[in-house]
Amino acid sequence: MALPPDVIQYYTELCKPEKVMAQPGAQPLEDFKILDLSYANLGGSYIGTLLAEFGAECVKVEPPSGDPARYFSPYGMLHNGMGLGFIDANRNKFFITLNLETEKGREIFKEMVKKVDVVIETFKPGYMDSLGIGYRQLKEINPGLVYVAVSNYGQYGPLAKTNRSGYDIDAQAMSGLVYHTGEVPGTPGIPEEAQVPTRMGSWVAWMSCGYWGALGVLAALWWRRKTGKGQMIDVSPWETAYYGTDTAQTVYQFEGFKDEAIRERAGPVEPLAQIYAYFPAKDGWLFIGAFADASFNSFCDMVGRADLKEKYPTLRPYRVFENAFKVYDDIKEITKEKTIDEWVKMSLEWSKTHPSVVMAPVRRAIEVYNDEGYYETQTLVRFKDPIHGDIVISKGCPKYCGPYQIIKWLARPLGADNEFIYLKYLGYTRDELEKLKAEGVI
Amino acid sequence: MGVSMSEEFYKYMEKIFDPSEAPRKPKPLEGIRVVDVTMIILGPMSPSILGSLGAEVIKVEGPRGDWAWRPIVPSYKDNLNSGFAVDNLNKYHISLDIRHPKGKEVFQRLVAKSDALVENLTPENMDLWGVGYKDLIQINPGLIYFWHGGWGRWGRYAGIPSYDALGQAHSGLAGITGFPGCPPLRALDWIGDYFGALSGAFGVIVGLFYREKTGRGCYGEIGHPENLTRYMDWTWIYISLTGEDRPKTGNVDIACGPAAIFPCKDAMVAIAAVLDDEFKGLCEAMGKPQLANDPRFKDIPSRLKKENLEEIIRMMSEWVKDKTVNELEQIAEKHGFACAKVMNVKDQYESEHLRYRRQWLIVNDPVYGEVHVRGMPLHMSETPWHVRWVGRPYGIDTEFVLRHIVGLSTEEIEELKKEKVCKDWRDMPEQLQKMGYAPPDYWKEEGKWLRT
Repeated sequence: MALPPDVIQYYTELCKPEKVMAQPGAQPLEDFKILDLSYANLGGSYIGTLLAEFGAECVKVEPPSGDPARYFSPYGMLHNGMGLGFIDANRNKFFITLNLETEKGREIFKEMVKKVDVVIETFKPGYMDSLGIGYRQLKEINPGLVYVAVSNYGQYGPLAKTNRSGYDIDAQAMSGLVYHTGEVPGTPGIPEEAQVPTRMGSWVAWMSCGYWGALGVLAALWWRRKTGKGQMIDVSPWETAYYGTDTAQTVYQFEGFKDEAIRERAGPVEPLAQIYAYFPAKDGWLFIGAFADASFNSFCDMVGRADLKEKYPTLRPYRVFENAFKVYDDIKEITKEKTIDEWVKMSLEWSKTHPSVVMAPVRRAIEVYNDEGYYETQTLVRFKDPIHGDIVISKGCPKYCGPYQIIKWLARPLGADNEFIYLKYLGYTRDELEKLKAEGVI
Repeated sequence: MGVSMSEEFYKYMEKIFDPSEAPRKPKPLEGIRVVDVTMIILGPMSPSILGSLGAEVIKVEGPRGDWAWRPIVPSYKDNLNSGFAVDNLNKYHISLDIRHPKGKEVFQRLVAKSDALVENLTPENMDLWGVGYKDLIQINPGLIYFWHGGWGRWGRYAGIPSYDALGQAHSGLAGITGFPGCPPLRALDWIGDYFGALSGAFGVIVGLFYREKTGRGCYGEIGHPENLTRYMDWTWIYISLTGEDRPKTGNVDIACGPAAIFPCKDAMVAIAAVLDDEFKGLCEAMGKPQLANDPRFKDIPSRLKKENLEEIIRMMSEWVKDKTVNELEQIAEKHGFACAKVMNVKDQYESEHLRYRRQWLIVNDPVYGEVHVRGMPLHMSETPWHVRWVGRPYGIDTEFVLRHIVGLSTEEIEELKKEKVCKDWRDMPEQLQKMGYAPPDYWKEEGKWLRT
């Protein structure tokens, strides 16, 4: 059954971005102030960005030499002197410099901390503490402070003292996502070096760290309303990526911790439910989801292959684990016969009167980029940045009829907001700032 | 000298994050009640997160229960489905047919007493049944109504159904994953679901702050594809500046490196040496200290240049080939760069670190006994999350919730049961009972079924 036009009409009107953004309260986090010290770690940067998109005032604090993440970019490509990863990960922030390795710098930092709600940092555990400005010390001068520390191995536990650094790639590696993803050995047409566990193309460990950190900050601030007490939050991109790995742990237990129960990669196939996979169509790749018995049968009817209903009569036990690839091979012979477009149209039409068979194209990023539908709902936005010019970014957050996710600007040059922020927070004049700069403090 | 500064720091961390204290500490969302009308994974997970943070979550299942999830994943223990167990933590499970006039009335009374509602049914249903946002906001003007799914209730894709793998396909994430020239590749794991649910939990709390400011509730939604576009970092900026599709680069991170995943002697291993010091350490470890001074590798932008990056990645892959993961981790430990094994579920099971940090969590469930799940990757010193139980039998908490939260009398509850507005696992076909609906069989033997 389709969504009735009057329902679509109601929600279109309700959530119209132009209307929502102008309503009072559209920036529900506007009372909160954040100092973001994230360094060479975009997992930390995303936390402040997500909160700033719903109104928080986020000040990114960099050493005078800059955050090395400024250069994180595909093949080192720079735009206005900044890497594309950095531009995307730091939105709506103010950019100041401050040298925490000087006494004066730390004094200034402490003054700032008294005026904010949240501090985010991604240094090696204990670094801030050793400078006398860790959570342990800062909570004394601001008991309501929410202090977020990001590191792959966390702030406590057997590996917390490791000297190894951490990035998105090793977080993904340890998460299980990599082990579970990739082409199966012996897949025809796939070169041998590609038949290996494979990382996700983008920084999914870091982005999920951003969301978990932001969620944690909000939970902590919610609790603080009642008690006035802040707290420390420890987030690890390793663990946030690991959180993305299904039910692998439980299956492993239920199957008696046997090696056969270790989740293994399966290329385009889903070993836990059939059919639910990417299939070759005449002109590209097609997703099909029809795994409940009714949907599977519906699919068989749709393609005129009642014999498959008999061959795989129910989800359990015929279409699981050991049968996954057999089902896949049978179906892929069918899907090759039509184009993606033909299949998608057919499934939409069919599902109006039969149990639902879901099909969709597996798209290249540039096809998504050219899909106007994604701009209508502001999933992607065309945006004119004061520094970076015309640019497209993803919002990808919840959309409401109340709060509005605002994009004000993307990353700005090192120290661009020194004057504005130091005047606002500490009343420093331009002359005083010149002096601090000469002393290497900012 | 006594203890060094950093030992004091670690001691302090161990103290404030002490996992054994978690059950006794307060929870940040205590006092928030969430009605959960969800199925499969994406919907159920976000109230699971809220529930683990202390919200009271009431999962409302219709006459067939969560039919697309309880009996799906082919791994069971004592009638409990592994997937359903994990995706429904800390909830009260009630059965209520909200299409029935009496069920609808009870549902409205429940919503009137709640702060948030999370649902992921096909988007026409709730409005069709007269319990959509526009109806419920009349009953409870402060309600945060949150929908999970594909594309929401507006826009050109409105109403089209979605799954995790569809989200990975339609967003382009599968298209940027994998090796050049190879087919698109999805994460085998349902990251569209889990990361989508994470956005939802975040979204509900944003809604609470909105209510705090304005006194009003709101409608919110997030779908798989749109959420995953956010996980594609620099993709969109890259295309808008170059006009070209984002290249697939297999196991090499071309934007934060040198960093790649290599086959070594006994496993696959990720190595990254991004900062100058780390890179210097790596060069020394590889026995090529002079490389750190080579102009091609002098700073991050130089090291990321295509030809330079390819060169250093080639050297790294040669170097790791005949070393074990253990050796490499020790070397990295000494030189301070990143190095980690591509872990599987067994490695994770055996990781003391994950176990200690409650990431490999053993829940002592009141119905099913020990259940192993992954914990939440959020460590809060004052208000840590806690998992009291995993997914529960169908309809097990109906009476409790209707009596103590909605305020119905025993007679009223009996009436609802008689008319099958409320059911439980015993109303399901025998085969289904054992597929995720019923308590363990030994409950029956012990006569416990009668006491629920």
